[in-house]
Amino acid sequence: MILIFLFCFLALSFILTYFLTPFIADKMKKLNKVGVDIHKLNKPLIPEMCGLAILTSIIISSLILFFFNFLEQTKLFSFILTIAFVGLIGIIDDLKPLNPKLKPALTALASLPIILLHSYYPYPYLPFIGKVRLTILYPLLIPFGIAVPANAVNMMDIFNGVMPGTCSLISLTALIALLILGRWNEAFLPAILLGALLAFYLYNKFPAKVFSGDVGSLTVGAAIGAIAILTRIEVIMIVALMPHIMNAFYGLSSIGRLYERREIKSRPVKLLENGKLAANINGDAPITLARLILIQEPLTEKEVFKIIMFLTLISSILAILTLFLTRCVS
Amino acid sequence: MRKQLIYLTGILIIVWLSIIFGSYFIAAFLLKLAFPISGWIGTFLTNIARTVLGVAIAIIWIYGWKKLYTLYFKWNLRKLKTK
Repeated sequence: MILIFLFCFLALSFILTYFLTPFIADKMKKLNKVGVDIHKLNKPLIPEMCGLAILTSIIISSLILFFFNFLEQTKLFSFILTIAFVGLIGIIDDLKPLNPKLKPALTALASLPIILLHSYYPYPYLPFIGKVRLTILYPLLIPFGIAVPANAVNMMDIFNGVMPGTCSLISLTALIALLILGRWNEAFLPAILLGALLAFYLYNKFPAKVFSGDVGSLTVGAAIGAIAILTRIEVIMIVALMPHIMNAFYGLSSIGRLYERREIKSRPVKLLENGKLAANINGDAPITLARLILIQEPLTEKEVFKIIMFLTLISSILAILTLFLTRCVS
Repeated sequence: MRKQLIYLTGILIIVWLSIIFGSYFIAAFLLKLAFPISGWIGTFLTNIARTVLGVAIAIIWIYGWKKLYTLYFKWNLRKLKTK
């Protein structure tokens, strides 16, 4: 029975996002809130901030979930508050770009509902070790648990379809992990996220008709972080998010500080005359995952998308393997 | 395209294996580490040693990871420049 409800909530967030996205895209076009698709030769103008559809459908679906007693109310409430807070930061960032230090700090602050409502369980499961008691350290790590995935997903939202495509795989991994663990009630959260992302992917896939904007990518990243904390699958989600974390880590460590994509003068990827993408060989550009992919040879945007999806698929498989390594000791 | 897939998947698996072996090392050695002194001084020293070793493992892991991708990038950059 609960499986049917699970599917219903996945379908609900899918339908909401599917119908909301073109509506928001039209509004954004009218408001002239459009961005240039820099990886295309004809430089089309694409409506920005359409990730508002993801934010709205996650919140509506979660509010409806309130009426069914599937999930602890405090957990659901802190999930909604965290997502709404991050979504608001994303909206502000889309309208007036935030300082590269302020954005992660604000996304870290968005974890406050989880900490204040005490909807976390400070005993994470680690491979080979099992349950670890981190009563003092755990709440201190929660802000990172929201800020890191939110900003890592935001930094990966560079090519058409990458953000909803990779994050759909990660949400599916969370869903499978929770079903394997028998925590079916908690599987509603990744199911809602998965539904919204699958619908958004239809519009954002190559060639993109909409852009998610920071409101979309920050919300999705924060939702993944919140799911990891609230459903106690932290290590599994870290492994599934490895391509995103690697991309953020490469960029940050090669630049040596927190940076905003817009402030980078020497972009890591350049567009060739034949429409293919190539790595920038200029030393100033940050070493991102896209630059690592393209350093071997120029590729089309679709090919880069396929490689990133493949890497996320591998990390998702490794995440499920990690779950079994964790389970064998718990 | 196949080359990128193989190399980058390799890096991904190495990073994952380092997490897994790191956890195994912590479980097998670090958590069993104890100073042979009884009382609060022994407990205090044990916790200090565990923390220092844990941080050292994390730093080595991050450094190794950075080294790995920098090597891959520079190796390919050299190949690209000689073409």
